[in-house]
Amino acid sequence: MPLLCLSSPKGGVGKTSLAAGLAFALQRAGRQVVALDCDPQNALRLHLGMPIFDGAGYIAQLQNRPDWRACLRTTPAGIALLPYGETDMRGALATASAIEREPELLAAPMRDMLADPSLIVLADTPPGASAVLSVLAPQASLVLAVLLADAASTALIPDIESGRFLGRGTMGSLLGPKLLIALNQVDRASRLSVAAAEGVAAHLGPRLAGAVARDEAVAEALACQRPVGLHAPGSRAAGDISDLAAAVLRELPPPAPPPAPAPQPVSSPLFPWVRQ
Amino acid sequence: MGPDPDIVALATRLGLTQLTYRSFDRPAMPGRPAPQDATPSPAEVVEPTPPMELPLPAAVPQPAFAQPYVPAAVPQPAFAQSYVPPTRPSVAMPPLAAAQVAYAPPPLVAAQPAPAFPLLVQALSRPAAQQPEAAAPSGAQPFLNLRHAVPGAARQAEY
Ligand SMILES: Nc1ncnc2c1ncn2[C@@H]1O[C@H](COP(=O)(O)OP(=O)(O)OP(=O)(O)O)[C@@H](O)[C@H]1O
Ligand SMILES: [Mg+2]
Repeated sequence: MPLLCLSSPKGGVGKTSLAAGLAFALQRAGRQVVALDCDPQNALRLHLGMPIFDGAGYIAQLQNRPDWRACLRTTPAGIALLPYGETDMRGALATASAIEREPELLAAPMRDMLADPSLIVLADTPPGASAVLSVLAPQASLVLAVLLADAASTALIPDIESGRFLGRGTMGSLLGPKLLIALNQVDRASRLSVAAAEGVAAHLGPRLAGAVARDEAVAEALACQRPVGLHAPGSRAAGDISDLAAAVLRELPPPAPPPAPAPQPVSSPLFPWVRQ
Repeated sequence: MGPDPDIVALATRLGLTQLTYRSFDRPAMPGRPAPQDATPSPAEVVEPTPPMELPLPAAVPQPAFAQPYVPAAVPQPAFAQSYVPPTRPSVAMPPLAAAQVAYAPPPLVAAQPAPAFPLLVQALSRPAAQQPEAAAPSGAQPFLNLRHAVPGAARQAEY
C-alpha cells in the first residue's frame, strides 16, 4: 500500500545507495518491497545484484504502457525490482516529457501497485526536480529527501522548508507533512560534518528521520553489487540504515491484515434457498 | 618564531610582497533577513541581532609574523637591462628512440593486489569504443540538434 519516495534537490547524495539499503532493511523487517527505479541512470539494479549488461526495465518503456507485473525482476539480493531499463539521452528526455504530458502513464500503474495492501513500493528518483517526482509525490505516503552533512546540502534546507523543492502553494502544503529528511555521509572525524549534522538535527527536530555514517562499506557494497546490510551487516552504515528503516516504518501505515476468508455457503436442509 | 626560510625563498621567486594571512580572516556575518511574505505586526518586530565577530577556530594555527613580510630585492647584474639574448639557429630534437630509456611505471600498490570487485570487473570487461549510433536503443538517428551549431544544417534534419 504505501509508497516511499527517495528524492533530493541535490545529486550524488546517496539516494540510490539508501534506496537499496532501505529496501533490504524493510524486507528484513518482514515487509514485502517492490523497488522502482525512476532514474535513467538505471543504477538501483546494480546495488541489488543485476548484471550490468541486462537492459530490461519498466520506466524506459512507459510510453508503450507495459504491464508492470511483467517487468518485475527478482534480484539476487531477493528484492523485487522494476529497473528503469536501458536508455540514452534522447530516450530519457522523451520518457520524461511523455510523463509530463500524460501523468496517467505513471500515475495509473502506481495506483494499481499501491492497491496491493501487502506491498511497500520504494521509488528512487533522479536528482532535483523531475517529471516522475511530480507524479509520484502526491501518491506517496512519505517523501524522504536525502542530504549530505555538509554546507552545500545544509544550504538547501530553506528550499525544502519553503516548499520550493516539492512545489509551492497547495502542492507544497499538501506534501510538507509527508516530507522527512535523511542525512547521509555523517563523518565524526570532520568538524564540518559534525557541525552540519548537529545543526540540521536541532533545526529539523522530528522531521529528521535518521542519519547514516560515511562508511567505506557503502561504496564497497555497490562494488560487490549487494545492499550494504547484506554486504557488511556489522558496519556502522548498515546499522544506521536499519535504524532509518525503523523510523520510516513508524511513519508508514501498518501492513494490512491477511484478507478474511470468504464466508462459506451454508449447506443445510433448513436453508434450502441457499445456493450451493 | 620567524618566517620559514623555505617560504621566504618561494615568496621571493613568485614575487609576492605581502605574505600575510589577513585574507583568511572571516568577515562579520550580517543578521538573518526577515522572511518577505510574512509581515509581522509591530508587536512582533524584533531588533535584528547585531553582526557578530566569529572567533577563528582554535585548532587552526596562526603564523605569527611580526610585520608583513617584504622580500629582499633580488640583486640584478649590471648588464641585465641591456642584455639581448643572441639569436641561435633552431636545433632539431635528437631522435626520440636514442633518448628513450626502457621505462616501466612502478606498481601503485605494491603490497597487496586489489580485490576483484564484481561490478568493476563487469563494467570493464567489454572492449571500449562502441559507436553511440550503433548502440543507441531508441533509434539510429543522431540525437544532437545541429541547427544551432552548424550553419546550413537547419534544412538537413529534424534532429
Ligand atoms: N554513507 C556513505 N558512505 C560512503 N560513501 C557513500 C555513502 N553513501 C553514498 N556513498 C557513495 O556516494 C556516491 C553517490 O551515491 P549514490 O549514487 O547512491 O547517490 P545518488 O544520490 O543516488 O546520486 P544521483 O543523484 O546521481 O542519483 C557513491 O559512490 C556511493 O558509493
Ligand atoms: Mg541515484
